[in-house]
Amino acid sequence: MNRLSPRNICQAGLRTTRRNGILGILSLLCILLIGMATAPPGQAHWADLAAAEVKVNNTDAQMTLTFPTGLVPFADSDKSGQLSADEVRTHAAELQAFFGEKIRFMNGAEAGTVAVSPVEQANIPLSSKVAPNTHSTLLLTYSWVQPIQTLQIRYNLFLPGVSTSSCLATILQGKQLKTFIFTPTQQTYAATPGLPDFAHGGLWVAIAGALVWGAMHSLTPGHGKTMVGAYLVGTRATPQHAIFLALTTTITHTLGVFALGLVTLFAAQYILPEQIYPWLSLISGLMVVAIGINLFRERIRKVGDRVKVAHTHIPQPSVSQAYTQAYASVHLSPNPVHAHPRELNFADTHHVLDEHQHYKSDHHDHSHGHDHSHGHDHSHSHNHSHGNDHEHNHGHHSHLPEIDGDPVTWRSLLALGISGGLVPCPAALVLLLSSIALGNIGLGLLMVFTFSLGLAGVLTGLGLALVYAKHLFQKLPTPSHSIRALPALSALGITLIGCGISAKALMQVIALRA
Amino acid sequence: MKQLFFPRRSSPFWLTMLLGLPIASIVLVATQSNFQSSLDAVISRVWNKEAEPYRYRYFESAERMENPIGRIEQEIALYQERLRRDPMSALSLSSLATAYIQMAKVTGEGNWYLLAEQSAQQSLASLPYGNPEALMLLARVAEAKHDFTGALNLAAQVPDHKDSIGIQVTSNLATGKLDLASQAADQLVDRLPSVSALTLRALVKTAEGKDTEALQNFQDAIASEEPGELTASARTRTLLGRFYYERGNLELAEALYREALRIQPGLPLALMNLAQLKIRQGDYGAADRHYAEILATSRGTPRAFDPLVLRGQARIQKLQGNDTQAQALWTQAESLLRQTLTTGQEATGSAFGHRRDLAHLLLERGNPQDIPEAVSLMQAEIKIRRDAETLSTYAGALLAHGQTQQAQQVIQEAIATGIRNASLYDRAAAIEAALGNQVQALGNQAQTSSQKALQIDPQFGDRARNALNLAAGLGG
Repeated sequence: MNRLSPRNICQAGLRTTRRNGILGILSLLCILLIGMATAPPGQAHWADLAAAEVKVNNTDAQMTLTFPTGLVPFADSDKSGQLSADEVRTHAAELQAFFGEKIRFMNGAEAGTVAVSPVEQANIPLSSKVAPNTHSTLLLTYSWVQPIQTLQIRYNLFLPGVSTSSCLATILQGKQLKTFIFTPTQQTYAATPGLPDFAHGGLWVAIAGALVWGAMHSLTPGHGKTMVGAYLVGTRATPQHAIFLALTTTITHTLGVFALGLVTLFAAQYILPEQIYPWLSLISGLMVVAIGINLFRERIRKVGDRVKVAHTHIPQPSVSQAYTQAYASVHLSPNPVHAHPRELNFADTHHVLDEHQHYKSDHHDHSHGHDHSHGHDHSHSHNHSHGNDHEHNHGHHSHLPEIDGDPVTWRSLLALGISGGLVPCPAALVLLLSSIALGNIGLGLLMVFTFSLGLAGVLTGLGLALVYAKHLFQKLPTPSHSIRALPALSALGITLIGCGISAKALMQVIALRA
Repeated sequence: MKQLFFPRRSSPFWLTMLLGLPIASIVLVATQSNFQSSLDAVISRVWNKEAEPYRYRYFESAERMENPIGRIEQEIALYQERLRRDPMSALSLSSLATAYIQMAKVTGEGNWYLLAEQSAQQSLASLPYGNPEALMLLARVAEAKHDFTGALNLAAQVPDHKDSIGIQVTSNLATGKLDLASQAADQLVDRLPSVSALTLRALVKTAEGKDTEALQNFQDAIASEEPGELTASARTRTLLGRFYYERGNLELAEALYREALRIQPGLPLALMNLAQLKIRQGDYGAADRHYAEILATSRGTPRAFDPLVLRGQARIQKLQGNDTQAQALWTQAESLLRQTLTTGQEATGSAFGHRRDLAHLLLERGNPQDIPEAVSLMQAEIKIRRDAETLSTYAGALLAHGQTQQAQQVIQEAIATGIRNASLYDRAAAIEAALGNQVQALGNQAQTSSQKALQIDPQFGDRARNALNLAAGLGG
């Protein structure tokens, strides 16, 4: 009968059992525990299922309950398996006491007074009814003197010891419908008019949940962790830089979700979110590639310079030097305009260091750490070189510490942070759109922000860990060649990651258009 | 060092760019967690031109509703709100019952049928005459309970109603009355050649063994689909995928399952059949992931398809040699299946009819003490259901119980329906071989049956046997 090749299975079983003995036993124990916790006793059957419609009004709540008749055998006088209207009226007092105990509706601390009435059933000709009756339907009305403020339903109408019996209830409060499944382990439903989901501290639970979800979600592949790590390791980053980078990613991500949410809402008929994601991923990936290539070119050139030129003096670089160098290293413009700013500040966006080094006209093999600039507005576009086989740059970055790698600029961090947060997580978008669908936009915005904060927490922690860990590595007696190559390698890493993101996005784009 | 970095000007940079980056990109992409499924989808779309006629055409214009539960809940809220204002509105009650049935189908939770039945009863009480919708809703609930006789009786009260004809098709198909099912299917298509109607007729043709006509009906169904019928479109592709699977065209079957999932992500029917296909291909990891995907959507209450998923997972463990885990999963599935059985009502159904599934489980678990119960279950089941697969399961139970002669009679009855199913002939071959007449078995009947199995599914073999009885969908 069974054609599963028992002989082969036994042999494979023996081999695998030996190999995974302990794991198998542990798994078995877990499964057995779960099974013991959920398996019903022998008498369990589908007739344990129940269903209810609950309508919450101003001062009363009505429950139309369909339940297994076997739970009220005292009322089923004719043993038909279904309570008739007469049987309900005859046993009204007993039924009221029974359901009042098993199903309680609370308005705050006040229990509602229950009244039981029959529900009119169709009189279908017997020739059409083949299956026997198993369920009955009653209308339970719970009422209070005061209007309902905080409604709580405690449902305990289960066959004793049957863990898998359940009652599915639809609860209509105002114009909002909730579906809730009562089980022996989940017997209480709590709702508040106007804020049904978040009564009794549920709002805080939701916020905490979004925070944890964001944090957990950021640990999944993607989200720029590797890129952030590679960048911070290869640069002279400080804890402030790490925090700034994480916050930039978070803010970009939050704004991205909001923007995409709005786009989805207002342009759902024309643009599908799943069509936007791959393109955003592609843009993000290409940005990262561009950043990585520029970093890589700068760093590998510096390594070359260091090899060629035996400068060993290490002056203290000024802040502006650091900004100048790293700022240029992330520049994305393919055809930069050469300019000499009066001051090196964040508004300077249009030059690349290796094409316009002109801080001093008397070129020689080292550059100086001073912070001068030209006060005039002419531009230069030449690349000067000496007649020999080496080239050098006249920025201020050739005096960098040999171990720390490059200094960072806020601008470079901003660019990196934006690229990391540009693609909104679908999970966050789901949060926002679900809340909007429920008519609570404010809650959606709050949840997305909290989600992003969780994401930021992880990225910040990671960044700080890398920044501090880097100092530890500096104390290790590492060969100097490796340390010199580290910034270049990290830049290469960024580039490769960008390529990976772009390639993956490209696959999605192709799949979308295929 | 100089040579290393600057053998020639800029060459390391370009060398890295031209060689290193593509290699690293490939490695990075290949290590993505969803790489396999993404690649499969791309390959399927780009290379499997055979599946091209079955692409869904309305992605751009159709409303995307990945989770139909939200939409149905909105409908339920609307009708309940109407009923709050007018509690006796028969129309609102019928509409509410319809929404409940939709919810039952989407979630697989049996409780929704109780609500649907209750609402339909109230509708009928409010409007006893001229209310065919309520009667049809009761018939659909009866059919869901596998109370086919009751469903047909109710349908007979409004014979010309569209839903009534549909119920005649499905219920007669389930009870093995293929002539009546075929007549009803023709009538349904003549009336409105919709996706659902043509798919139903395709299923009837499949059961009759008329493969060419079945395929034509499937193709007509896809050609006639309109935007918005996402569930019907996804279901048709899944059933067509199963049609191809049973004929050994696994590539096309997989492409169709994936297309169904693209139309309706997370569709349990498609996921279960895809998992079965993966088991047959020996890709147990993928199969397990598809099963886990179904279980992940559970809301805490047992669903109709959960036992089948657990059985599938048990099968995977068994095939991997993890007998203990397999036993534990079978025990879980058994608990759920027994829960659906109404004690003392075997002959009438009313239990969402999972006797056959339980019998499958008892037989594949391989405990000799379970065999008599499997036979008993199937004896009860064939009183209400005599389709080929049910008969085949019964024959298998009889064979395991040593009642080989009876098994042969039953399997011949199944073959006589005309259905082209390799597993049916494979079982017939096993029964012939077990009859003890080895010479005859090897020389004639069994060999012929095996040949027929291979004619239907040229790839039928041990791997196909590993995945038997794990399919989902109408007709077994």
